[in-house]
Amino acid sequence: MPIINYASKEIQFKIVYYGPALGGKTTNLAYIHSRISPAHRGDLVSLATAADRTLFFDFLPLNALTLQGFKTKFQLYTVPGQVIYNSTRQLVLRSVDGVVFVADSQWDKMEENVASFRNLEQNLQKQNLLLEQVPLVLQFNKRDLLNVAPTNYLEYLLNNRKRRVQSFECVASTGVNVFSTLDAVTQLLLHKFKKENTQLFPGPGKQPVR
Amino acid sequence: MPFLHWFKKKSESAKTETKSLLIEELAKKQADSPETVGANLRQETAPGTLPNEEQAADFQPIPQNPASDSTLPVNEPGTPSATPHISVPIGAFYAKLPAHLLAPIKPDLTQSVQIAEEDVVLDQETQEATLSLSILSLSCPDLFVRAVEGSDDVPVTFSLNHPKEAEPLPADSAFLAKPASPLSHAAAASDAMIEAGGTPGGADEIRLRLQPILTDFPPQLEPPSIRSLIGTESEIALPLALIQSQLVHGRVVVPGEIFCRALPSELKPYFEGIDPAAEIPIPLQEIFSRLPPEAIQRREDQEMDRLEETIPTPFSAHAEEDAQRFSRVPPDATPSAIDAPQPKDEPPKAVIEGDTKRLQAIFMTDEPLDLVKTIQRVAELPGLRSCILSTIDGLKLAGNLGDPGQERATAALLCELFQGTQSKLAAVGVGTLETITLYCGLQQLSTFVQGKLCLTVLHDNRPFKPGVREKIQAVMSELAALSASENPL
Repeated sequence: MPIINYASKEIQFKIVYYGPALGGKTTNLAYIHSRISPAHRGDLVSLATAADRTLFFDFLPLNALTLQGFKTKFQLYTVPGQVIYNSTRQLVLRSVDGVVFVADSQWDKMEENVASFRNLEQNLQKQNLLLEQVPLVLQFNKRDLLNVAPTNYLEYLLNNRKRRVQSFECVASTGVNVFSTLDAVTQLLLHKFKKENTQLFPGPGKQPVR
Repeated sequence: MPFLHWFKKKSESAKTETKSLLIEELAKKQADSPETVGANLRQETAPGTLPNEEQAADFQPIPQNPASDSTLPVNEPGTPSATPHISVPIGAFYAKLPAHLLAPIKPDLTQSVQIAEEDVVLDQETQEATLSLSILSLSCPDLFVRAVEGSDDVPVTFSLNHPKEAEPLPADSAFLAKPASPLSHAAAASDAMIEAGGTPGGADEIRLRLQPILTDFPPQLEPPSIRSLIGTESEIALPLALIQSQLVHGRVVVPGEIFCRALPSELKPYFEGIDPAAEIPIPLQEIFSRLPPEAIQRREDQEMDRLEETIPTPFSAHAEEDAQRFSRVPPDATPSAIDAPQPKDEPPKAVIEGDTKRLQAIFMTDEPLDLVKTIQRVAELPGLRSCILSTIDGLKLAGNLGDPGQERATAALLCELFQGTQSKLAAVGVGTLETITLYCGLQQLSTFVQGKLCLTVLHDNRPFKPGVREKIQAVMSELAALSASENPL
């Protein structure tokens, strides 16, 4: 659930980049950080090991648009993808508003993608959340590499549930579709927020976002 | 006793987080209390805890009091355990078990096994029971060749009304929340094959090249004799259902027994020592090169997330901007650039005359780039200290590594090392060499070679940061393409 501060008129959304280890979650955040004006973002906090594996999580705060007089803030997080850090992932997932699942398109990462997706589902269940309830977007990363699986197989593995979610082919290292993915998940969570907070959005005729 | 052996193994494995949730839960519960995993699972999936039942269609909330249903077979009198048990004939679920985990001897399907009621989630409406494979394997360990853990531990759903006719679900129903259903195909195929004493033929099989399978062969299973088979053009016919049913897991394995049986007769002696229960991985890439297109099907009842209106987000402008920028840079530019013909006996020129928009896109800049500026930008990438671009013949083109006397020798040495390694690896067939990194004392040097260009970078005491290596490779592809074009560097 987003945090609404009526006193300071602020709404805070939390978006988590989830996925297998070395799939490109941190690279997504690094690219977003490099493109957003410093006036609208904080520092990218990243705790990584010497081998550039995310140790705890990455964090990027973004100050953005105004929603019915409320200033909105987006907090982007990544989780450590390595299997052993599940407690950290559970911690980072708390109160999540939207999820970007970053899948590694390489053939030999398919099993890790599936395991990570199941892990996401299980960790959400621990918070009494169903995957269907959380704004979710899939990102098939590393599409520039030669040894990648076709997207129809990735869709079959990760997007064959009753509710089909948006998916993006992406090259996070150069930025291809990084913002499209973020834009899509933001749209989803703003729609959900609007639907669940009718007192803030009284009528369809009004322009909710400036 | 196999049961105790597996139990012990599971308890040990639960000490790390590397095991699946179910295994963790099982170990915890078994160590701390007589309660079982099922109780825990029920807590997580109980209808009361589902915040929105309407959206929970995929999860089928399941009634929690199976004992109240008089139609269900509850534990038989005289069962020593205090926990209520249900009695289930093996035939009810046998066809749903993954073929690669089954013991070679087929059991009496009419024989019943006792399963703790708490471990089973029962759906009164459909009269179906669901429990995890690891728990089922503890109830009837003799059915399995080994303990069920890790990615093998999937939920198994079976009917209590028609225990001997466990019907396989259609292939397109295979999806993450119900991964057990396609395994029935594998079991059925495996059964048929074992009974027939060979592989099923015709359209039920898939022919795969043996070479990629041998390349991925697990080292611990690899008999030394098969090294002589590298380069073989033989093919192997495997049951399509066995392969197809595992695609949903992102990994395909076949039991050693089936693999050996499917081998051409002249190759069988090479694999004689392989454990029949060993898992032989089959590369997905090879499978997909031969798989019929209809084998991967989307659910027909899918509903797409549709938004009633578009809300402009703070990221929409960036997304549009990127879309415009990248539409000028086709994503398949890199492979074609790699394949671009190189001019012979003529080193690349050091002036950029051609279209550098792709290079500008890589560095996300509108500033026109020449060779010097490009190499400067590479050196400024995070985690790098300096870099030098030279030809593979040792002619320096731009950049520096520090000491001018050493840099040329270092770059030439690394380039030679790269080319030597690349040609040897090509003979072995392990894929294309992209980068070589050397750790020399406190220094780390990496080399990229594309076409006639060689780029050597000096790290800042760390390996590549995420995305940096890929970015350098994209730059090298672009430089190689430009150097080979009409408007070269």
